[in-house]
Amino acid sequence: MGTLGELERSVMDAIWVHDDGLSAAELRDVLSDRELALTTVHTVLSRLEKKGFVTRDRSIRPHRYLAVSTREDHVAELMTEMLSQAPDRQAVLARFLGTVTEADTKALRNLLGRNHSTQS
Amino acid sequence: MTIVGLILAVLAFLLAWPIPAALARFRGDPISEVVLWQAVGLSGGLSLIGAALAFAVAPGTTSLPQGLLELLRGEAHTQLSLVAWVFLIIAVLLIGRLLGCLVLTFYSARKARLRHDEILHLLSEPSATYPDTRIISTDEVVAYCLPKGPRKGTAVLSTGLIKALDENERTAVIAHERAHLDFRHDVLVIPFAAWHRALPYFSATAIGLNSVNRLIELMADDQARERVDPQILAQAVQSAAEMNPEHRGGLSAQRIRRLSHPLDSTRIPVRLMSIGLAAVLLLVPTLLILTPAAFGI
Repeated sequence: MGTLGELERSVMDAIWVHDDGLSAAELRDVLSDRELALTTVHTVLSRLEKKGFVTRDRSIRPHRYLAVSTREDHVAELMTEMLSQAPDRQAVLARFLGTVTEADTKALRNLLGRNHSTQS
Repeated sequence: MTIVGLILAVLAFLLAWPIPAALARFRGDPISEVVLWQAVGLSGGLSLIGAALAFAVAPGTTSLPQGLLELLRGEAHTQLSLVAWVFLIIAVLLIGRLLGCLVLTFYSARKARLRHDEILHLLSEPSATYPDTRIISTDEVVAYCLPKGPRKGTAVLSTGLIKALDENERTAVIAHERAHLDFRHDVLVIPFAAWHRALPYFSATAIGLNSVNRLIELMADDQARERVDPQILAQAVQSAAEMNPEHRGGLSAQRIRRLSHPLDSTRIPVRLMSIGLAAVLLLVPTLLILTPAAFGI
């Protein structure tokens, strides 16, 4: 069955690909190869809710669980935080790359590359 | 006493501007530089606080500690002039701000690290090849480490980096990240992050923080040399820099240059001299503050 950490990761992976959210029973079925008890799924979900990764839609029964942020947003959050501690001036600029669109990113990258080649 | 205050004020000024500016230009042994930076930071803070306190205690006091004791007992405050009161308030605020920022920086760094760890565990998988290493799925070419207590912590590699580097280069990068974790480089940065937070308008605090952040990268490279071929680590830095325009700054170039040469053979005597110099830097304001003799001048 793996550790609780791994379980949380699998649950998040399932929730991230279901934009409309999932109920606990649906989650158990999606993760059927892990043969989880419904109570285990509930435990993991309430942990994730407490940590702020999922939110519960209580307007319908059974409650549906939705991701608070997309996976990409979380990755960008980590990269931003990590790069903001980097000593390079250029690395500090990179902090903005995570929050702009793909097209902007390419433009910024080109710009950075050009600046570099004119400097050296 | 006014003279001691003036000497400390001059010292605080020297440590706030010309000395950090000179130290930032110095390119030698990174450990020596970090030792000197720590001494400059502490000595600067001591001189600044000492200067304010020296002007604050009642005139005619034989020593600063005694003068402070009299103030604390409430024996001397009636003799204080308005100017002395102003200096006393400045000293108390300064001590509070510096210590407060130190505590705050420590706890906010810890909190950010725990949160980062929580999110990281949802986004990454443990590496099958390397111990205490996690792989995060992103095109960014990054490797970093997340400290967690003494000699523990996680090295993080991106799938982008794994694609960009070969196996030997990856091992070299992990040795670099391990060095950060094993030698607690994060702890060396905390005081400078705190001083910068406390006094952001002092350019010295920004220069100090930036320098120490840069120096720990060089230290990790030097320590990784003991486990991996420096030439391969240099290649890895080069490849990562090529993939990531934002990593191409002066630091990557400096790291590659250093890794391509053997370590400077004079580094041990330089280190001993730096430790001596650091001790002197710390002793001067300490003695000025503590010894009654200094008040005789």
